[in-house]
Amino acid sequence: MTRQPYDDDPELWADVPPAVRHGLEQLRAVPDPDPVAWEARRNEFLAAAREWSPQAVTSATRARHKDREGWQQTIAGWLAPFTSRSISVRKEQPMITALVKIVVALALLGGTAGTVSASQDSLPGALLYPVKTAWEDVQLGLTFTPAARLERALAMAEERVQEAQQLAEGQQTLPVQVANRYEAHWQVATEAVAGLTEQERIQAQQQVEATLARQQQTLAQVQTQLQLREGEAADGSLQQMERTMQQTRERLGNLPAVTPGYPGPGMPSTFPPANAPLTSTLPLTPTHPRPGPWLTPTLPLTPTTPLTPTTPLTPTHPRPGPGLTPTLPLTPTTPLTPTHPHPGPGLTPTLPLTPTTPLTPTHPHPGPGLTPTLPLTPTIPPPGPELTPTVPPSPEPGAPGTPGPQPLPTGEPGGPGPQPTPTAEPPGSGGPGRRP
Amino acid sequence: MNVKSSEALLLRLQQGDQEALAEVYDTYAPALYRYAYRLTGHDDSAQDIVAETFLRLLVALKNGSGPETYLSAWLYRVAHNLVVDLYRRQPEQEPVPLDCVQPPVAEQCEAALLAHEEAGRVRAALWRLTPLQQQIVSLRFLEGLSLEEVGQVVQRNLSAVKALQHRAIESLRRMLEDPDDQTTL
Repeated sequence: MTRQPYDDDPELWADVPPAVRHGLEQLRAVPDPDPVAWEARRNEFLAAAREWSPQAVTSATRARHKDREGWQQTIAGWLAPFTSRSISVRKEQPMITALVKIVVALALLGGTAGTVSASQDSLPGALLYPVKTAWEDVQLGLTFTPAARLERALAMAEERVQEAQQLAEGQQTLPVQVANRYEAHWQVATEAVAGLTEQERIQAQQQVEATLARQQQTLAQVQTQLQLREGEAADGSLQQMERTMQQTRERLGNLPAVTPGYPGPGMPSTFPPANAPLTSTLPLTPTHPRPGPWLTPTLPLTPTTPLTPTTPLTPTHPRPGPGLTPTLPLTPTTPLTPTHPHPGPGLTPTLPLTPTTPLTPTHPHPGPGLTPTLPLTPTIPPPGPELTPTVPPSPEPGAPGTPGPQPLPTGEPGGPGPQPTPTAEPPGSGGPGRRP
Repeated sequence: MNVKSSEALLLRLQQGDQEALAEVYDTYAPALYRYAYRLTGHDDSAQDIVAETFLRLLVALKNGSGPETYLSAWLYRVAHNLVVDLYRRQPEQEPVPLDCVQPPVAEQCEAALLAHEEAGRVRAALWRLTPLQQQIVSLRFLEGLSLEEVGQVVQRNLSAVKALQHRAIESLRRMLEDPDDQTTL
């Protein structure tokens, strides 16, 4: 489509009146653009392109777009021979969208149940494969609870891996469509896990990890088969699927804890969180990264010696920063005298601080795989009953020269880790059929 | 660029191939520049439109909403929308070639000025067409696209393109043969 125009095509100009032809010929001449400006703009574009990181979002978002519109396009394509003009499903064509919805509704009512059933064994590239994926999307669209959506997404991801395996066995290349859908399925699964309760999430994460491990093994076999056949570099779609698995692990590892002091999957949550009386409204940075959801201790964590504070609990660090309001009372077992004034600006206790439980840790650090070798001796006493700042308020967290939120004392379960900020989907741009 | 290589290029783009972006720019930017220049008559405006078109391509790829089948059709569509936006904001003003302002060369430029005026008159007539007709005439008679290719850009089938083209040519004829005729369609 980029050929030079003005092939003197007699057919092109046959029906054009001379005045129009003469007029349009006046517009033929186009001067060359200023080469300096041209090169500068080209470089600007390439610089912008380099900053663009496609792996982060493109495939998943593209798959989402395709999930949303692809099945409509597919059905519209089937209908094309029966319509007077070709159909392109666009937002500007509500009639077509309505027609597609009717067809899907009929499919749901069983009119094409046989076709849907027959499509379930189809592979990418097969005539019925779009039916299979469309049916999957319909099923997912009708699944609402997080647990059910997780099951559905895992089943679909498993199906994609099976397809990859079958394609490789059939000496066929893995289409990017499969990798895109695989990524979209894991996106759904991650979102579903985030919506589960704590107990459900523990089980779900184990299930997810098992699924990922199994699929990784299968894809490694597929990779071997493809490389044996092609004798070349790794298949791009396969690499995309492997990246998806890695990203899924990272995303699930970064999910916010359901409750503070959540010790990680597979760990009994019997340990009373030492920081339970104080619920920070600011993100607290633990001294150790939060244990990943995949790490399950292989040995039971048992303290070698009873954990008893040997010295009076004296805060060695100032209380965390502003806005921290205790939500539970603390009652000291012995009279506590604060050795350091409370430095947190704006911290006003609303209730007297009374520990509800003796400050005797009964459980070691819950991080998986970490077995305390030394008795854990809390060095920080609970705060005194009077939380009145006597030193000038510390600056805002993050200000120059100011440490951020204080890490939690070692030996305590991590508080709520830094909350991941949900990334907003960027607004769409001028795509086909839209005003840019 | 033939259809297969265009599809292959699009596939590479969708997979995030950085080199493909440079290739796309070098392949399509000159044609888009000519297209924009013929409609605007300004070098700067045309270059702006080309740059903006490719930036929108980047954003669209990032959002997963970029071209799915016909890359060049998508680019022409975006470029045309930008041209229309520009024209709405700033109705066309024909630039006078700077060389012609200088007395020593003014005589030599007489013919060029006349041609320039004539081009301006045709461009003004073109702008009186509907945006769709304008797009079809430009793509078909100025860029040399086939009817099928024009149909891909404007997302109309062949018979619709033919009908729109016919009406556009007839309107142009009336406007160019009788400049006082203010009817546009």
